[in-house]
This record gives sequence, structure tokens and C-alpha cells, in this order.
Amino acid sequence: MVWFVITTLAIFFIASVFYQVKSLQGKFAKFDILHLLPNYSFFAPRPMVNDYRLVYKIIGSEEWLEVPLYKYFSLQRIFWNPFKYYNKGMIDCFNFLIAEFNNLAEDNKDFILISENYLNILMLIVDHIKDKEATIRFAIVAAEGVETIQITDVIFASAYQKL
Amino acid sequence: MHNLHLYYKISVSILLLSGFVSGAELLSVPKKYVNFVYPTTEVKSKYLRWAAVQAIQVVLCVMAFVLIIGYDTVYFRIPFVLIAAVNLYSYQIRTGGKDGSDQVRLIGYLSYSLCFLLSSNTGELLSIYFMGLQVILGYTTSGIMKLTSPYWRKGNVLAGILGTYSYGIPKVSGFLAKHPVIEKACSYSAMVMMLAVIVSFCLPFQSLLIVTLALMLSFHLATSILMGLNDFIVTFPMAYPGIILLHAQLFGIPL
Repeated sequence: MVWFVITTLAIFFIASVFYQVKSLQGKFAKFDILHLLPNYSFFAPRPMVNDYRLVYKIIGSEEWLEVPLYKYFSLQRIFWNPFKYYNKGMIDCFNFLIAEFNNLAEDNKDFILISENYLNILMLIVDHIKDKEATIRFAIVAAEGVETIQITDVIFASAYQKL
Repeated sequence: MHNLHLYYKISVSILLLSGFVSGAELLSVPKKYVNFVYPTTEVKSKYLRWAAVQAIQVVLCVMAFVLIIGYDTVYFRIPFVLIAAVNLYSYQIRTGGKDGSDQVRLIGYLSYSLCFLLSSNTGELLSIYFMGLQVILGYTTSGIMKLTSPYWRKGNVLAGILGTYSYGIPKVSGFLAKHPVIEKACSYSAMVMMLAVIVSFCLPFQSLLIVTLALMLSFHLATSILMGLNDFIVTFPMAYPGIILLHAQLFGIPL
């Protein structure tokens, strides 16, 4: 039993070491059914230096409105910060959506409407908007700054659709 | 190594605290945002299942903590193994919103549970050694990745990261942007501290290793204040007893 445990831990540790090499990650990921191998790069090589913001526009209106996603800093977050989980979840969701959209063939782009990530974003807007039957389009934009917010890129823009 | 059990208890307690905080925070994610941490098209009973999984983890963490600290009994292993199973399940259903400390915590639960198959001393020793090595690998990789990144080497990424609503404090970001020398010093100190762990681990000076680990702990404290990553400070230190013990064993330092 001792050797079984030692061998298992040793194999996992060696695999963890190789998994840190980006070019080998794909090969090891095939065997990592439970997604246990860790990626320890943490904010490297290119850290995120902008926020994603979710904006929407009701048909007939010229104005884009923002769905408030962020919280102001408070010292309490040293001990208690559930925000980090759903904030990271939203960042992941936006990134997954963009990846899905880019992977769709040009004439199949409409399939994005049935994406789980697309629907989750839409549900968040429905929760925020007063008119639950409005026809809207939404966009994900990258923005910099805190006091003066500057949009640096439009990452995704949906077509108009009825809620 | 007569302090082994004490080191092991400290490590397990930190791991349980980490599981408790993480479970409680996930439990309190507002209902409208659960879709982002538990993205599934399932509608019926979705929130209930999510809340139940996190609540079970919180309760099991308290039970295991009381059993190991209050009664010092091996029966803490029962709730501990259940936490490992619940944590693994939770990790699999959460396709989004996971971070580095979630990974380390899960590896901790699974490896400690695996070592329950062995006799107490051997199991305790192997499990804390293993997590010690994992965290050394984590710090080393993170340090190397930053050191080889042109963005980090320029020394001006901190104002950018801290300038976001997601991971920052506007005032600190503004201060760093106005003082590029301090920003560069902070960027490089993060890289140096991470790489100092493996360097001090390879040198036969225990006090140097302890100082380095204390610096890393202060780094985690800083990231929890500045970036809101409060789970790192209650997760990574679980490996410190293993790092200290393994280092002592390698260099024949009495404990």
C-alpha cells in the first residue's frame, strides 16, 4: 500500500511539473480527466489590465446602458469576498463566449444564440432590465480606468433579439 | 521526528479553514450570479443543489476541525474524506470562476485522503511533504513565468492590474502610476520572493527558509488586501509545515 500511495503521488507530482510547460499542457490534459493538474502561472505571462463591462441597448434607443457588475473596494474583503468567485466566473463566461463565437463557421454564427454562456449573460440582463419583454442587443467591452472609464475594445456584440 | 503530528495538525487545520471560508463564500454568491460559477442549462432545483453542496462542505469542515483540534482523534478522517468528495464534485460542476487556491485546496484534500490508507506516521509525513513540494512548484513556476514575461519585466503591470475593478484598488493604482520606481520595485519583489522560496529551500539554513515563507505569507496578505484574493492566505500556508519539515529532513536539521 505504501508503494501504491508513493507511486500515485510521485506520478501526479511529475505530471504537475511537466504541466507547467505550456507546450506540454495539451498532451497531459488528455489524461487529466478530472482536471486536477494545476496551472501555477498566476497573472503571467500577460496579466489582465482591463475590466470587461456588459452594456445593452434597447431597440429604438441610441443609448447604451451598463449592467453594474462591480463592487467598490472595502477592507472587509480581506476576510470575506464572495465577489471574487462570481467576478472570475463572469470573466470566464465572457472569454468562453468569445472563444465559442470565434470557433463557429461564418455561416453558422447564429448558433451562438443557444450557447450556455450567451444565455447566462442574457439572463443577467433580464434580471437587471425593467421591461422584461424588450428587444435588446448587448455588447461586452474591455475598459480601462476607474474614475474615468475608457473603452479600449468591443469584444463581442450580439444582434437584436426579443427577451 | 516527534513534532510531526503537530505540524500535520496545523496543516490540516489550515486546509479545513480554507475549505470553510471557500464553502461559505460560494454559498453566499447572490442567486442571480450563480449561473456564472455553476453554469448549467439545468433549471429545476439548480440553486438548491448548489447551496446544498456548499453547505455540506461548510458543516463537514467544522466537524473535521472539532474532531482533530478538540479531540485529536483519527475519526476526523471520516468528514475529511467526505469533504474531499464534495470538493471534487463542486470543482467538476464549477466550469467557471475557479482560481489557483481552489486547485491547491482540492489537491490537498485528495492527497491527504489518499494518505489515510497508510499508517498514521507515514501517511502524515507523506501528505505534508507532497503538499510542500506542490506549493514550492507553484511559487517557482509563478516566479519564473513572471520573470520571463516581457510585461512583468517592464515593471509596470501592477498599476494596470490594480487599476481594474476586478482585482484592484483605484487609489493604490493611481499612486503606483505616479511613482514608477516604486511600482517596478513592487513588481520585482513579487518575483524575487517567489523564487526565493526554492532558493532558500536548497540552502541549509532553516532561519532563511522561515523568513522567506514569512515574506510569502505577507505577500498573500497584501494580495488579499489589494486584490481581494483572500483565499490564498488561508490555502497556501497549509503547505508551510511540510516545506519546513522536508527541508529539515534533507539537511539533517533537528526539529
